[in-house]
Amino acid sequence: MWKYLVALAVAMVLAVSGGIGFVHSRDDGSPVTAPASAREVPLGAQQNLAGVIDALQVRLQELPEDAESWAALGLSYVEQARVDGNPQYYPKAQGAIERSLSVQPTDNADGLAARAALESARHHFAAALHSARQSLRINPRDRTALAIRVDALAELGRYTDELKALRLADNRQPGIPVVARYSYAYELRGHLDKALHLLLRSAKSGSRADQAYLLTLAADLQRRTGHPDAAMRSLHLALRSTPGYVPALASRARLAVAQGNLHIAVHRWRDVAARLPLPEYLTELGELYLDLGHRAQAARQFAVVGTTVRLFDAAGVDTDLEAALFDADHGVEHRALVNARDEWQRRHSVLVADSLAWALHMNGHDRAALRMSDKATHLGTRDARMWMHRGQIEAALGLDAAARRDLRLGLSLDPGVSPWQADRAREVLRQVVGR
Amino acid sequence: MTVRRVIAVAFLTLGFLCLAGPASAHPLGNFTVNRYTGILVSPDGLLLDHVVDLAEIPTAQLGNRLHDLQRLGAEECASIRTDLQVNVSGARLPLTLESSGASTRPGQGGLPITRISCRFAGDVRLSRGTADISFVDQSSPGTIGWREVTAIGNRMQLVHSDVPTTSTSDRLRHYPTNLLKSPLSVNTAHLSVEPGGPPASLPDTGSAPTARPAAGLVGETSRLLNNGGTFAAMAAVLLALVLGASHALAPGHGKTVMAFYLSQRGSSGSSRRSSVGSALAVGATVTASHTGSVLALGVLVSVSTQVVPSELYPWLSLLTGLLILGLGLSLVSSSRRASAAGHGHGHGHGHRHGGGHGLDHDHDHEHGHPHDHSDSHPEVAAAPAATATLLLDPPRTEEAHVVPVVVSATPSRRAGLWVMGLVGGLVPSPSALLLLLAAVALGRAWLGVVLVVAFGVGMACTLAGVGILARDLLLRVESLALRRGRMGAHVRRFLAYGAAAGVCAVGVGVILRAVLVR
Repeated sequence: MWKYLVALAVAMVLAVSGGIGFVHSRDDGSPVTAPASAREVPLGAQQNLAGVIDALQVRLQELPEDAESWAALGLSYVEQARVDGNPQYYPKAQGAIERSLSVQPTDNADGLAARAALESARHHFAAALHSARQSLRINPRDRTALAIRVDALAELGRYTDELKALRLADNRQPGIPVVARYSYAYELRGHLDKALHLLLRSAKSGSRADQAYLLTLAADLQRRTGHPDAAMRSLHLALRSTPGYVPALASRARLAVAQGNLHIAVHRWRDVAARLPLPEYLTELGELYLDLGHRAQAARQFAVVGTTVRLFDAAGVDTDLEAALFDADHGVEHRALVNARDEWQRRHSVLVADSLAWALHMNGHDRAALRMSDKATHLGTRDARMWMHRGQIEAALGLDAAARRDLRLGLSLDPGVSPWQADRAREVLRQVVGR
Repeated sequence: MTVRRVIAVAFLTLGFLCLAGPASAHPLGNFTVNRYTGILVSPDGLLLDHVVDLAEIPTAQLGNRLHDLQRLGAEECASIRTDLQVNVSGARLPLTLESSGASTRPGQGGLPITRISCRFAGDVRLSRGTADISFVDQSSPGTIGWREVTAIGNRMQLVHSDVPTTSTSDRLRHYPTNLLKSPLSVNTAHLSVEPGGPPASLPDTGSAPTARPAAGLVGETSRLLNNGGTFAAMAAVLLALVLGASHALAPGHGKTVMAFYLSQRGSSGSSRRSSVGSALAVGATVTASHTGSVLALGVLVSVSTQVVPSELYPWLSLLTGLLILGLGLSLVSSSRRASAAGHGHGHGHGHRHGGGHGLDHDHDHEHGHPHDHSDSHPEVAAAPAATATLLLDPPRTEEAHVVPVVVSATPSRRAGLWVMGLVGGLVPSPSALLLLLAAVALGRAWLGVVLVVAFGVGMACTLAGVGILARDLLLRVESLALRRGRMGAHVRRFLAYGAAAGVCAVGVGVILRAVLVR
């Protein structure tokens, strides 16, 4: 009898405390909404990203064993890093994703997809592709994994597979992420108008953060296709939705170059370089200084880029393509070749081919450079620098007709291209025409 | 530069020894500019403690300005002053710059990172009634990085405050790694204050970065380098001496080896002077080889972008291991010769002080070999020496310079001396390399060289000093053992072979580790 009473008391205590625990976790409100929204986060989210991150953080403090929320949080951190170009979020993303995968080591499609996104953001495309495939094996409809697989294939230079993956993603999970990727596929293949159309369409329905991202891409295309006023409007909208969005500010500086206002361009590039001193930005600022005859100012920018490249080397980070191009033009030519070759070992995208072709040319291997340039231009990408590079390589080999054609093409493709680069191409064109 | 600061720095050195390692990346990424403001509200006004932490790339953007840190600090703080807006009850409070400072410390890849500290004051009477204070930090808008504001009251109560009282990053020294916390991005504060409450003060606002003792010390040395004055330069050199001396105190520097080596230099009291001389000679070779290797590595790192120091260390330890193994093998062969010769005093005779040798040779060569009493002393001393070394000094770090115990057994004493020095100094100390790189980064390469030499001298002093002390102890123990009883020839031979084998084993161990770590 006594035994039963004790058992009953224990049962009641358990029930009540369990009930309290239950009510307590419900009372917090926000956590309950978190997982539902978490699924929506991936690439093209509707919600305010910061709000989602807050909610997930609160939820995980209550339920630290929730693998799905950890994966969602990791993915949100990756997104946050992309949206405001803030690398502080990457280590956190990595920690959260590792946590998700250790809490639930098997059948964790979300965790694997988030890992794919992080690896892609860090430019480890082969690893990203691997993780995305692992994720899709568990959940063939995982939105993030479908999108990241497309990105990774494009960056690895597997363009046929890219299109297949894109169609598959469109069948399984149509939406803004897929549209944005179709747009990039068109852009790579030289169909800028179609690419622009898709970007503008998806920007209309994207989240605020995505609007800045998509509109900036659109503005670049508008500038390149000769619509500077439309580009200005897009950038204005982008900066209104995310004030201080650095890629938009950089695009605005290029627009000033396109419109011939070099002094305004210097002013804008300096602002960009102060906010986020990426090698590519500093190089453009430095080249602008060179063009305006401020050699000392240019040298200062190039010194910082050189430091950055050294830093990346020391850290074992895969050097940026922009850094390799910088080295070929203003830095250590030999190092440019080493880095570009390394990158070519890893992936065969047209942009890597262009960097390697240019590095080969600057090191005097013009025949190999032309062969590589064939690979760079085989999709018909309408990239100004790519064609200017090709033209200069052809000029070095004495292929004057081809050089004339390609240099003229390159010079016509982007009025916002670095004026120093354009001047150099123009100089070569003048020589070729003269002989 | 106060005396207290020097002492504090000297103490920091100890921490430096434990933590010195490859400098790591800025925790928040190489591009970030991080800012912190601490507000202290007192009845007679506000005090603002503002810290800027610039990662590697923004530091590189400073360019030449890094060469004059005092000016950099003053200029940056002056411009920040206009960007900090404080309103008390709706009126803008003018701020005055009280102090400023800047320092650098090595970050990733030996590149400097910068810390700028400013202190501002604004006078306003807050002793009557409630006041509303609002603060906005408008400096460098749009830069990416940590932004944090804290506020505390000194004999004032914060009735309302939307910022915490303490810094979660310890004033940009330790960034929290909690996965569930987003990086802080706070650049405003709104406070309601009224009189009352306990006294308080701002946390220590020295400009020296103390995130890691290593950083602090090198930062301090860099600051001294930057001062430009003779006194500062001398202080930096002294600091480097202290650094080197205490660096050699850390385990794994072959101090026991030095002791036993010196005990070979003269075991009878009569030759004390010569053993001190030998100590100096070995010290000199250690200094020379260490300085040489640091300079060579420093030049390689600065000239070539392909050289990564951490990739070279394994090779250098491999070389050290090979040297030790060579010593061990020569020891084996001489032991064999010795035992073939009978009672094991068949070595070294040919090198006894002879005519035509220079002064050095007084140090390098043996005078006091005690052949006059009890045959084959050297080996008696040598054998336990090697064994003891193995026990005392396992190869703990890449710098483990163990063992060349019975150098007297090598054909040439002088060669032994140099091998000893090489083993002791071949693997450059990362701390010395950091000093050199910091000096180069500040455009004072020559002073960096002086610092590295001083570092080596410090190391040598410690090694020699400890060696001489231990030698006395050893000789005393040895003579005691000899007076008490006799060791059989077998024991002696066994010990000789054991020592040789041990030296070889350590050599092989160092080699294996160097190969496996790669």
